[in-house]
Amino acid sequence: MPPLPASFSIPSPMDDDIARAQRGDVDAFERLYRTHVGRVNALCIRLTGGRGAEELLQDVFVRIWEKLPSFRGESALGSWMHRVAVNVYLVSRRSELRREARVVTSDEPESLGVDAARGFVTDDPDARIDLERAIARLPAGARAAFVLHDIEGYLHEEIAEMQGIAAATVRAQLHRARKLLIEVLES
Amino acid sequence: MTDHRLSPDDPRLDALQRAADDLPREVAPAAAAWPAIRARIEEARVVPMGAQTPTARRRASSRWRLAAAAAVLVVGSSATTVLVMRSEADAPATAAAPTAATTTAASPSTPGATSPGNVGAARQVARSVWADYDAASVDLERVLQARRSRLSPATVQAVEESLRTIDRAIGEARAAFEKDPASRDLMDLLDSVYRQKLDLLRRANELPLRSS
Repeated sequence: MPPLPASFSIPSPMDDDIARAQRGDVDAFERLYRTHVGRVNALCIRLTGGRGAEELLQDVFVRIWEKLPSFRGESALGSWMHRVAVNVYLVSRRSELRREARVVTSDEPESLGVDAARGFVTDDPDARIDLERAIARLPAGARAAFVLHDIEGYLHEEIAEMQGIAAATVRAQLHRARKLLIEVLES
Repeated sequence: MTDHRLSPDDPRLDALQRAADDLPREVAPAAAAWPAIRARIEEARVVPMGAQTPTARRRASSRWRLAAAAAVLVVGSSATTVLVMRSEADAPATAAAPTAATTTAASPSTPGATSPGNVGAARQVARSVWADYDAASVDLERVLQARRSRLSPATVQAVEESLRTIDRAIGEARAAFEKDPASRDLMDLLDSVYRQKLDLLRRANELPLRSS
């Protein structure tokens, strides 16, 4: 299994709560949820572009609950949860792709619908919101590549392995995402 | 659309990366998120695989108590018996158990046999329990498969041979149980062997990996 992204670090969970939750203690699991949900929720929102993020968050934590007894502490619990979240998203996305067309697939930057005049001024909260909106409107594959690589710090090869695609495809999707975002935010 | 070719040293890429780095790493969920998750966990009786509450463990232990299985071990080789007994001695206190489905069967009143009226129910419950064991095994085997290439060949061989032995014993015991579903000894034996399988998989998944 490839190493987890070095950029992903969160406060250490209470080992006692992990052990209790592994034995079926829902209250202990709630404490773990409270510790980690912010990070997992941000990931869910960005991966889905906000569409179905709440449902995905529920699915992720139900899956984490189911899988928790297999957590052996080889990585930080937060990193492990993160990996579960990505897997749940990818499974749901595969199902979605089988039954319906993607909402946004255009390569035209104007279709991303952000205020292009604001640019990249990242100490400006409005600019951050624009970037979030632009990310949300990216095509799903490009969005996943950008979120996982440029925000979450996964390597191309890790993303490729998780999605069952070639690393070259991930690079192409990432390039597409960056190009679209730059065009929108800079023009 | 303007042609924006991106070269690796394009300063706009740095700007975009800085903007991405500046995005908040945490977003608070909706207040209703946890109640909904908890409801799904509890209403669906989603029990973590391999986990039971102390109460459930006690009830399961009572129902599935180990019998003097070796005497009826027509289903397993002596090597399996040795493996099972040795693993039993080494097994951690947190050995896996099936899900709460194990707790619903009526307990037979006579040790070693299930009353005829309960045979059908016992068979049904046993199958449910084994399905839980099988599901837990599949998960652990996936983990083992992912780690396999980074374990020593000797370790992999030993683990796989042990698993084959246990799987053979499980198969033979299940076949025997289908012919004699009133035998609580066979149920207990199967429970024990399944536990050994999960324990073996768990311990195999805890073995240190080679660095290269």
